[in-house]
Amino acid sequence: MPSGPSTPPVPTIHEAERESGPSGAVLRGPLIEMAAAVARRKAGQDVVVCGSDVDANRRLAYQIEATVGPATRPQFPHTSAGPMSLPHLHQRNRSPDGHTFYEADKRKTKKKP
Amino acid sequence: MKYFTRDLIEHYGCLDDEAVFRSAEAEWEARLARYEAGLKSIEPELPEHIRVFTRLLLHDAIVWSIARQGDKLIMVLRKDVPPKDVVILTYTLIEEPVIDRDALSPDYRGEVMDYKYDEFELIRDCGQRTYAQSILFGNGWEMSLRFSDVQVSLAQLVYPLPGTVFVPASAPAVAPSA
Amino acid sequence: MKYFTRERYLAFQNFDDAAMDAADDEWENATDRYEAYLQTIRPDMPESVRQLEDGFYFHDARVLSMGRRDETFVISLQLDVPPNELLTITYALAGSPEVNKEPFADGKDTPSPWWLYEEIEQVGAGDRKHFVHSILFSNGWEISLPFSDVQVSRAEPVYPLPGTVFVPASTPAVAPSA
Repeated sequence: MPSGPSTPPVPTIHEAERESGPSGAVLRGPLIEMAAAVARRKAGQDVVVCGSDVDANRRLAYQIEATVGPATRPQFPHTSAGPMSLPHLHQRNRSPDGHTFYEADKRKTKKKP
Repeated sequence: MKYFTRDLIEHYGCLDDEAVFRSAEAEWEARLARYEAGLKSIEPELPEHIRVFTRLLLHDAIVWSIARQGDKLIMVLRKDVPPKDVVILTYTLIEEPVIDRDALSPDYRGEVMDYKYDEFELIRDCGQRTYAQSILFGNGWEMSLRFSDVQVSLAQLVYPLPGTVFVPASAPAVAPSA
Repeated sequence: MKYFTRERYLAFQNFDDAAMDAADDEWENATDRYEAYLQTIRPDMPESVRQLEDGFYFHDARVLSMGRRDETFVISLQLDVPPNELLTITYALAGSPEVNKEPFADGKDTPSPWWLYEEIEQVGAGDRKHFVHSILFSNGWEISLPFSDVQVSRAEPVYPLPGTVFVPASTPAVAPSA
């Protein structure tokens, strides 16, 4: 049976928290739906969008953050964020606290133990 | 800034054109790699406390104040990367700081002054070692510092409570008096 | 606090004439007694403590942050009197700080708390002699800091700009439980 065109990978949303210390790593928690992600962000907690399609990850991350309130543009990681940091967005007025991170080509989450 | 320039930041923030964004992303990674390689190469020459300073994770730290006294510049921040400590940086300046208050277009500025990106440099001049740092803040300020030393003080936050963010009010409030 | 207590402060907020007169008298009385007490301990105060006690007018200063790291406690604040200097007070602790976070009973949310009143007390004798700095803030918090030494650094503000007041951003919503 001939194989059909592959469907693009769909990003997934997870609870997230940042690892304390010098790594800047984002720890990936349980899978959640969009509504739960927005609620979590409104409570000042982090979420992360994971997947192999960076553009799709970024678009979804922006959608989550923009639903909470006026969101920044994507913020690229930097030395001062730690070597394992991920690109992210947050609220323009930094309230509520927290970020929506997303995985990029060479920047991935760690699974929360 | 030499690496993390306004153009690159604004291209990276381009939400409407994914081709522009992808190109900026690739350029960012390349420049970040070059910057970090440069930082690594000078590390052996840095005193331990300066090395500690260069390793502080201050991205997205909220800046509560910046102040001057003589040759000292003091910055008080709250880290965003856990542990979310209070950080007090005390620079011993060798030149006046240069502050550009329009380093980002209005569309790219936030309401809160947070620490976005910085570049640190070692300056060798006639056997003397001094330092330079450019810092880009989220409110669009870019501050360039030349200094001979910096002291770092870290403390676990007692106040404000975690999650509290203060934003500039649109009109001045009046402090309660006795 | 023994003299400038929460109760005496709150008594001022009662705008009934008779109540205010009584509160006024009570406050004057407390001030006189505190001054008399200070005179008894002033000769024993090291210079740094004397500077803390009468070198600054703290009332209505905006508290930027408080933090603790091991035996050091740091308070960062911006004075209300021009030129609105930034002060960093670093205490070498001589015991555990007490932090009472009970808000004032009127339930009003105070944006960015102000420093209301403070007292210095000498405790212990001989080698165990140290001081306690007690501070009442406008959000109802009260802290008592036992310390053996204190340093105050002062600087002129670069940020925030004079006249800027900070208010808490909107309170985050509570996430539904899983």
